[in-house]
Amino acid sequence: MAYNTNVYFVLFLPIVIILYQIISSRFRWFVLLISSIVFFMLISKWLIVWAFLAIIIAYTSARVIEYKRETTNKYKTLKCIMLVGICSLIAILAGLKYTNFAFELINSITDTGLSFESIAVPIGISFYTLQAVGYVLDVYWERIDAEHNILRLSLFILFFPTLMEGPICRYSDTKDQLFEGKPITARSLRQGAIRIGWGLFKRMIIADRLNALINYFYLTDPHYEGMIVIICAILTTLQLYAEFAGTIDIVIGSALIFNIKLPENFRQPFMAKSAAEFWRRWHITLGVWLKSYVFYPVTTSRLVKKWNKFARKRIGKHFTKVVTSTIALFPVWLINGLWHGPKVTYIAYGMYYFIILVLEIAFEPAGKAFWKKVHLREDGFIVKAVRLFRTWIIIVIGEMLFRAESISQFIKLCANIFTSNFDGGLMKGKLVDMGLSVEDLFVALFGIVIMFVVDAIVEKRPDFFETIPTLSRTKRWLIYYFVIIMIVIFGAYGEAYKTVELIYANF
Amino acid sequence: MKKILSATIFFLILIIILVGLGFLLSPNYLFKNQMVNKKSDISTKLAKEEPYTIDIIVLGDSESYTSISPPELWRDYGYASYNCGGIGATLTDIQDVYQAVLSNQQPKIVLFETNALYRVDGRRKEADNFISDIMHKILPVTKYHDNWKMLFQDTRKGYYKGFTISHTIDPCDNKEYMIMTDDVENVINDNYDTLKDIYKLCKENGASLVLYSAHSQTNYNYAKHNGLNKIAKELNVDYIDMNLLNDDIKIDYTTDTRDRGDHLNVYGASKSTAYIGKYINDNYNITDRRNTNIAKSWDEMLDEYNKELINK
Repeated sequence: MAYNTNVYFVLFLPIVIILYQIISSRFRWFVLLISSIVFFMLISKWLIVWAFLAIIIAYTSARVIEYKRETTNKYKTLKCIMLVGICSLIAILAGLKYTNFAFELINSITDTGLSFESIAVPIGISFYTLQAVGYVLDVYWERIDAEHNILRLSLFILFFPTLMEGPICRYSDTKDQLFEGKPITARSLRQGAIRIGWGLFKRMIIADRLNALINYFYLTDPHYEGMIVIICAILTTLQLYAEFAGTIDIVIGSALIFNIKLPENFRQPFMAKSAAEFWRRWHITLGVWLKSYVFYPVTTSRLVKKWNKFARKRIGKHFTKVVTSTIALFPVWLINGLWHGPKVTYIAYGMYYFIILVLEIAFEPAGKAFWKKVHLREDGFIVKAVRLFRTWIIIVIGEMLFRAESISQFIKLCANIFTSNFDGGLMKGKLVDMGLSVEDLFVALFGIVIMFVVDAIVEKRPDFFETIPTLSRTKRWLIYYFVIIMIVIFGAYGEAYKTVELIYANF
Repeated sequence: MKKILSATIFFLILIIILVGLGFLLSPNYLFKNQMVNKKSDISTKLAKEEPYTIDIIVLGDSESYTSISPPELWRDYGYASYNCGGIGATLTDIQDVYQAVLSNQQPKIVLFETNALYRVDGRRKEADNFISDIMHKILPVTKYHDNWKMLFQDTRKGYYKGFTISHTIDPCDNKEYMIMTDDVENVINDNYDTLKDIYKLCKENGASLVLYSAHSQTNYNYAKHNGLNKIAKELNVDYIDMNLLNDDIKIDYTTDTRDRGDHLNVYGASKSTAYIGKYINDNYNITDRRNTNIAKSWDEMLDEYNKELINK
């Protein structure tokens, strides 16, 4: 049962809503906990024991850190407990997710032919592990107090809307809302339904519809050329965005029904003017997590501080910044790549952004000098447009690498763009010979246009979705009818389509 | 009170719109107005056929609908067949299609192209299907929603009982890809379970299940042949691996493939169909329907097919 299934919308969510509402506010969080456990078990069955183990480790580590701080307060002891805690959590994640990958890698490199049994991985392990690690570190850094009720901590880690695709929450941000037990109101239902509707629009009209074409493109021999590769790479990016952001809308909408406001995970990523800005707008909570728990600890470590002091005098401020950023960004992007899953392409994806970001930092002064030399203002239209376009190219290449079946396929597809046959069969209708009809492509394109229009509105008015219920009845109803009818008629569901599995749920 | 009334009116209007759209997009309405075409779902497509006249159906993914041409089976043997293959179809998709076929047809032979047996099937949960069925009954628009496409499509040409003509030649070398080995590449367990269900359904409906592997350098090898042969023996059904029968079928990958050895084009499909037609003729007793009431419309379809074959 994923968030885009009938069972979730017709059975699971309504039952949870009813149970939550009829129970006393003191125990409402308990309804959410039981529902989350049921949700987990409906997907991963008894693999939930791994999640329970992670909860026990996070809970025990935090409590022991708290106890030791009150009694001995020895820095080394506290650090040791924290390290044992997070290493255990990461060991479970690595053991479950990466053992197969490690064996495959060893076999492919050494030809040893080691045999291994495929290990079943519980749903959302990468998401809940990061939340648990973040919780332990926050307690260690005294940002929050340790939670004394293990069931409450369990709800934070297993909360069903965030379980499969995030957003990755911080305990300090969500705990009060989770345990407050606010009643569901017509307002919260409406707000939740609006976000869910918008999420379904993106998923069913764009992501699910493009699924056949994208699969056809990557799962057959990589012989596409020129424009076909470019168009499919762009569509891959848009499909990933519509799928992930759409699911996050459903997730945020589901939580809003219970008056729980989860952090946003996307903020109009295609309006970014640099790769760094893109990552402040795309999968925001992962970026924030990596910044808080990897990047800052590295940049503020004694070793890096010493290096800064040493280098500034010798190689100058800019180069010191470049080297420091390189040192801090490398683990961030290695972890980012590995976190996405046991695939060489994901690691390459992480390294791709590592290189791009280091280059952006290194050439920042040169870029500024260039714009000055050609007498163009950095906040002017032309510079903004050039930067926007450059960022789109970076994003599209990155997402093609992310989606490719292998590095060799990615390289082949990139090389195929520059063949003599630049048209690639586009004019002969090759694009409509890849699993989608002209009508399907037209609907997907229409959905994409609507998605960008809404993104542009939200960029200017971030509270757009909250203001819809305040519009006049005619406007409001027209919006509701439009979205519902679009989903029902033009949604890619039923016999003729295969819905996209939640892509990020596998991470 | 005012809010409740407002919400009631909102949902009432919504239901009226959805019911109205369901009526407009239903096969009955579309048949009446001659708006049925190729991109509709299989139930809608088959609902256009005369009930209980299709004797052979082809199931599978894209390897199936690019390898068997129903017009040519009609031309050569008078067999009424239908190709029900779907893009990237999984075993549960195929099972659904067969069940949809059985609502108004009772084919005697089910030709099952085997490539989908190696495709991971994110098996749709029973509860999800159950809810879908209820929703289809309450709001038929959820079943027929995709039929809007017919309003934009040519309703007569280009679709020949599940087969479309591709003249595209995107060649590859005639390499030796079926190299004999004792290795066995087993089909995915869940898929085998679903295949057993399909087999059961065939038996219940008096159909013979025939497994076949279409020519595809991309998808087949000898280990897969061994895996498929194994399950064919276990189920006691016929298995035709065309990839090993090239002395008879004579597929030439320099002219007969549309995408470098993955799928066949119409020239390759003609050769495969000729082999399958002869195989059925030699081994099964299927009615020649060229002198029955469906002959006129099938002959018209064949004429169009022949015209498109000539006019590249």
